[in-house]
Amino acid sequence: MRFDVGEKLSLTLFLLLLSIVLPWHLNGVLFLLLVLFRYAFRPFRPVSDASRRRSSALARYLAIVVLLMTIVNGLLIKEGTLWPLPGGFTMSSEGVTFGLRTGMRLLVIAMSLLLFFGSTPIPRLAQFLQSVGWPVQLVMTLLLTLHFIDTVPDRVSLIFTAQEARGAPVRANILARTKAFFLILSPLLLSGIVESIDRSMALELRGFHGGAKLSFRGDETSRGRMTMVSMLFLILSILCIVWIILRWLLQ
Amino acid sequence: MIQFDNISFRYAHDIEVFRDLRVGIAAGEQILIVGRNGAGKSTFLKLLNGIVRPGSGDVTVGGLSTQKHPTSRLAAEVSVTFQNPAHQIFASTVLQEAEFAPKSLRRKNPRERAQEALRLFKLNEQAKSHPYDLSLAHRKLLTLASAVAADTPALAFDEPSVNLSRPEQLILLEAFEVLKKSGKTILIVSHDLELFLPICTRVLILNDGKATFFDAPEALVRNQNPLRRSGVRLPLVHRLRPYCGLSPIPHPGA
Amino acid sequence: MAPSVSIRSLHYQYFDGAPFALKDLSVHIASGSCTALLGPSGAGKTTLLQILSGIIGAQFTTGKASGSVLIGDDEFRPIPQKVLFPSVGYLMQDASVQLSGIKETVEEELAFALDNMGIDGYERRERVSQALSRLDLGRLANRRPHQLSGGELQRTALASILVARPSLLVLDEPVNALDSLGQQRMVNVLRSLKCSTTVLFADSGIEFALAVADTFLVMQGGSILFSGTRNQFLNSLDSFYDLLPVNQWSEVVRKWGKTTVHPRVAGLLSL
Repeated sequence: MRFDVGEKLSLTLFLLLLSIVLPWHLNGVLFLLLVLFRYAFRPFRPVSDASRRRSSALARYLAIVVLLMTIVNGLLIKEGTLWPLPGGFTMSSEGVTFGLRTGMRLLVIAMSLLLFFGSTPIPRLAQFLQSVGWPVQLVMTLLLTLHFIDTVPDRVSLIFTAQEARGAPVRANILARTKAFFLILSPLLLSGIVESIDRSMALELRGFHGGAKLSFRGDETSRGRMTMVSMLFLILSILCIVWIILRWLLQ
Repeated sequence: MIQFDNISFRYAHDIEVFRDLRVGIAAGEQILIVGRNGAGKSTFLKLLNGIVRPGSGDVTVGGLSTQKHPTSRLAAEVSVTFQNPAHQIFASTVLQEAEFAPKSLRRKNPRERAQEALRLFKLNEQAKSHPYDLSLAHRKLLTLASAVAADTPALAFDEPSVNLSRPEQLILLEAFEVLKKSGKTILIVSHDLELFLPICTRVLILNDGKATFFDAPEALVRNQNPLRRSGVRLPLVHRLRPYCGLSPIPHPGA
Repeated sequence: MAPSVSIRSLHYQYFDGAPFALKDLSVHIASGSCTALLGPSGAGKTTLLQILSGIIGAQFTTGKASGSVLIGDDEFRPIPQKVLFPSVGYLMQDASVQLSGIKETVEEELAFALDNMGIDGYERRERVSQALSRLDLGRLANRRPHQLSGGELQRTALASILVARPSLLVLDEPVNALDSLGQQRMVNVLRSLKCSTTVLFADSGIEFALAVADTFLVMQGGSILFSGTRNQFLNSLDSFYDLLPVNQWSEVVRKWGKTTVHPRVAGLLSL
């Protein structure tokens, strides 16, 4: 079964909305299904080894965050059934449920986005957006941003290595890694911005300007026609939105 | 001080870089490492502090085996810098950047060591500036100063002269003179033979997974075959010098 | 037709009150020649090259300029206000930033400029294959750009400009990432462009310039200190000790005598 970019995009939109609609336990099931999807479903397989490793690392990281969120909420919120813990702490069922609800939603959202971006090469996405009528400058800006985000893990890794080479054990444990990551975020963004300015200059110097049209290799992917599959997911997405609005109105 | 014993190394995608590499470097030497692009010069430096570890064999630095110690521990024996300053600089002031190494290594008076290193590379006036306000050449000098601030017995620089123009090169050469006098072991990977041949004690040529030459620069000029075979050329000016009755390698300060 | 370039009394500041990046700069570059622009970093070499490409006039709206620039038959007072591509091709100092980052193969990357020019079909294929073979990139045609080594990247960046067949080629440090083999290739490429293309390149070393340039310009502090032929340049080396890596060269030249370059040296220099 072939899924083109448009179909994947509408499926991802549907999954994002579904995560808001579903209760936490179903979101959990959905998350596990999506993890399986990655391996079982060809259109959603990661594009490259690097992509796969990164998505796995991110998924694991998020799972830990969700666990922490659930525990912290359980400890801090004092409503609902309270289960006593040693040291005078209590775990509340309300807190745990709240943590799980938010956490599972986060997992589904993250997994859906990972699936989409991990399996779609940036040029393919650009081609699709252009074919549905996005202005070229906007497509280019999005491309440059995605390209930069793509390089962030590698850059972070390089700086971490440089810091280790100066005696700082930044990769020793997850706490050290997290602390170091936040410290280098700002210079990373700065060097990214400086580079983007140079990049956009380079593009202009090769004749790219507003009004130009980006061309891509091959015509195999759709030219922005709405396929039955995209239509289906878009309709399901609209139904989700309707359900969310009704649920909110009838509260 | 630094010993490579029967090192074999290949990257994950099966490109063999080293095969039974054997190199011994004594303390206080200044080694210039040359070879064509892809010969493994950068990999050689990464093996020094455990950034990559050999598939077989052992690399020892200051008595420590890189197989047994983490990079952050080996960093106390050797400071390694990389080609691209953007992959190393992360602090918000020049001084903070230079202080990072002595602080991480828990040296006494890290701030003073940092200031001394900045003075050595003529960056002390810009101590409070943001690194990205410096020119690319000065950012390069900053990465070198940051490594020197660590005050390790050995220093290894990957292409230290790339992105430097003449005034900065002069600063670099002066700094190396000072480091040499204080007995540091220095390794330089560079394709700029003209700049570094006069100041090194030995030249190491990496080719085909092995060390095909490891001797004084004068020996290299007498017999240029190892260089030719490795795809590196002696700079034109060194080839011209004999025609003028000059010694092939000038002596520093000449 | 390779244009000549004439610059008269050019002054440039990046914004009002900024130090002058270019000060009263006047120079004439002959049609079809290869000129080396040498000098320390901060001398203004990149600014001059970028002004010629048109990018400074187009993007830096706060810049203040005076003087005039004549490229071929086109006169600009004071400087070109839009990018002059494809008649002027500009190679950036950092090759990794030059590439678009959105193309999947080297071949597509080379075709990017042609797409922007509206050239397709047979002509597109022909120009791309010509650029690939000229820079010895044939076997890398289907490689992903981010997998290229430093040297391969620099060659690809140059090829991506050459496809447009600019008549004025402006290069910012074209060999700084290349080993001796790569530099030799670049020498051959520039030699093959003589007469058909006017070439101006900036460099911080001098060996590449000596192998390939006819005219030498030395810049410092926004002005041109020296302009002359290869012989004149070699004979003035002593005066550039602090600006260019020349100390070993000046020893060599001194031994050969001050007025001419010995035929053997000249022979080696054109290797």
